Amino acid sequence: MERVETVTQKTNVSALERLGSTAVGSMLVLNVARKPSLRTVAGALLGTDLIYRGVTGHCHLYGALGVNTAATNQPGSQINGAAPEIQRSITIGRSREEAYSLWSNPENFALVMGHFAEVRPEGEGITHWRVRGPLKQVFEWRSEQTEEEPGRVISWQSLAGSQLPNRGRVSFREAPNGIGTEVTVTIRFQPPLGSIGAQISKALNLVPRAIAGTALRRFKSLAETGEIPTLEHNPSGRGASDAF
Amino acid sequence: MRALCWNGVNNLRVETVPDPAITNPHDAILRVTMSTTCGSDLHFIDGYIPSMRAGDVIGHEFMGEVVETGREVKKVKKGDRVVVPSVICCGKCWFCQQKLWSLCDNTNPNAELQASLLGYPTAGIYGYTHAFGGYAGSHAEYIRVPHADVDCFPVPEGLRDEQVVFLSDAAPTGYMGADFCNIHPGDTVAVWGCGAVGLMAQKSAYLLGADRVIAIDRFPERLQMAREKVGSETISYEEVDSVLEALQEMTGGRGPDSCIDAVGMEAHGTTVQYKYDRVKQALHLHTDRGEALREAIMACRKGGTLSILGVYGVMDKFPLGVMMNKGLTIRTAQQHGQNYVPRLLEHTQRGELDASFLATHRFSLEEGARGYEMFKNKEDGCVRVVFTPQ
Repeated sequence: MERVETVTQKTNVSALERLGSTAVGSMLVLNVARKPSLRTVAGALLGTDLIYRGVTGHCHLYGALGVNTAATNQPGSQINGAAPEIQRSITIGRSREEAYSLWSNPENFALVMGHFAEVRPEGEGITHWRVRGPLKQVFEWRSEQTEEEPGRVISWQSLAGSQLPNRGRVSFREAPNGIGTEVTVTIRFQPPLGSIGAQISKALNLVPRAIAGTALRRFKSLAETGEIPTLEHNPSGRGASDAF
Repeated sequence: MRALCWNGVNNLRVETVPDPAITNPHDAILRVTMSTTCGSDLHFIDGYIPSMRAGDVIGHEFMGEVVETGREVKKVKKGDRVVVPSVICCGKCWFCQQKLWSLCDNTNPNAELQASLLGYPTAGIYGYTHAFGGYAGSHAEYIRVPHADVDCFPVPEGLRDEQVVFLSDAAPTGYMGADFCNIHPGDTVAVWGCGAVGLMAQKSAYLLGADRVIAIDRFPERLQMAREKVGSETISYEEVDSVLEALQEMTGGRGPDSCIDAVGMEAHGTTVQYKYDRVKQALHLHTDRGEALREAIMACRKGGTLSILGVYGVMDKFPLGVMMNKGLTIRTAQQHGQNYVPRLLEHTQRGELDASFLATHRFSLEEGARGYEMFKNKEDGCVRVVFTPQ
């Protein structure tokens, strides 16, 4: 106990990486409960370490190597060319103006992002983002709208002090043959620590790619049908409410 | 409520689970009056298709009575007796408007997961893995039906549940399979499989004007059903040296104009290739035993149509060269049921179709696990078990 307290528990793991660590760690630990074997036990041991660094934000290995991927205080404007880019597109059966105006409606936007974050408008183009990771982790940041071309483009970037520095844009373009509008989302997350960080972020890109893709699909369903498909209250032997 | 849950490979159990509730504005809640086993369920019961979770409520072929509707439901009313296709469709997206219903863009909550497997996501299906949406299935007292106005079809007076329940899946799937064949007068259609879907495909081929229908299976009672209830000619593949040669003999050497595969990934056969498939599948080296499909590709006449209704995963040793060199047209899909239910109800009303003969066994929901055991092992001539939840 004493020894633990003398260790400097400085946060040296970035927010994105913490989310990934906790998620993967939890999966590995749950695996051992499902199917105990030498392999899953070894996985679970690794899993508990991943959860530890995810929850505390401190990685002993990084500490020993002098690595710190927690870049919490960089203003969004410092996001540079090394930031890996995520791009996802979807075609929506609504006109460009309709799609743009549906996306711009804060109530819709909060619904569309509901699988990932609680988004609250604070006025004057500022939104507050709150993401709940596994095991009650919470990440928060504020974003401001940086550029808008009505009917075509909305851009944003996170403000200084963000736990998950990012910037992005969504563009609206007519699809061929009047079938609707092509909506493209581009997001860059600030890679901590230059090129090493960029590699780490790339490896973790799978998660933000799925989050962005899901957001677009949710937006499409809302725009085309007025509702988002859901497994809330879905009956099963595991109880109700049932996201995969 | 009570519901039949999947708890692992070959592990089904009736459990008490929470009731469904209106969750989205276009939802309806149905009291399930009849729900039936489907051969495609056996693939996940046997552990050959992924993304089931312990506790999933299974079942996707059903009918019931509307007990509650969401605020945006306009056509369907409380008290309506309805049949519901197994694919969940929004009716508004491009695919629904093209009548490619099972490709609906807006009903799979796990679309990202499924897109990672298929490239693009498809419609959700009740009780049929999380890749297909994770929706609770119909072997339960109640079920939530999204987009109720699009997916619930009111049943005309005077039809019994057994005549109607198969219009949820087996009949429209079979009908679609025959529709894919673009049947012309004088055509011969061969159908692999005399389960419910195969029998419905045979019946539909006649309804759509086929001259002859030839059914291929190995179970005497099913072949008898094909002859007596549908009017098909039959081949027992265990009793002939070669299905290919038998079909050639029956068609003056030309081969069937169209072939329908109503078997899927757990085919049986008598060849060396079948034994090879069996071993590889047992070792989890591939998911599919494709004996019936290969035979259909080989037997189909040059320039003919191959219509695939069987469910498959990833198959190797696939005779693409045979398909290509013979210039076959391949048509396939999960059922576009919303296209076909109205005309199947009309055929039933006019007495041209009576699918009730498929319901060889009737059980209460509490006997669900036993029902599937019987269905899987084809005990007592079982073609379909129907469950009556209440």
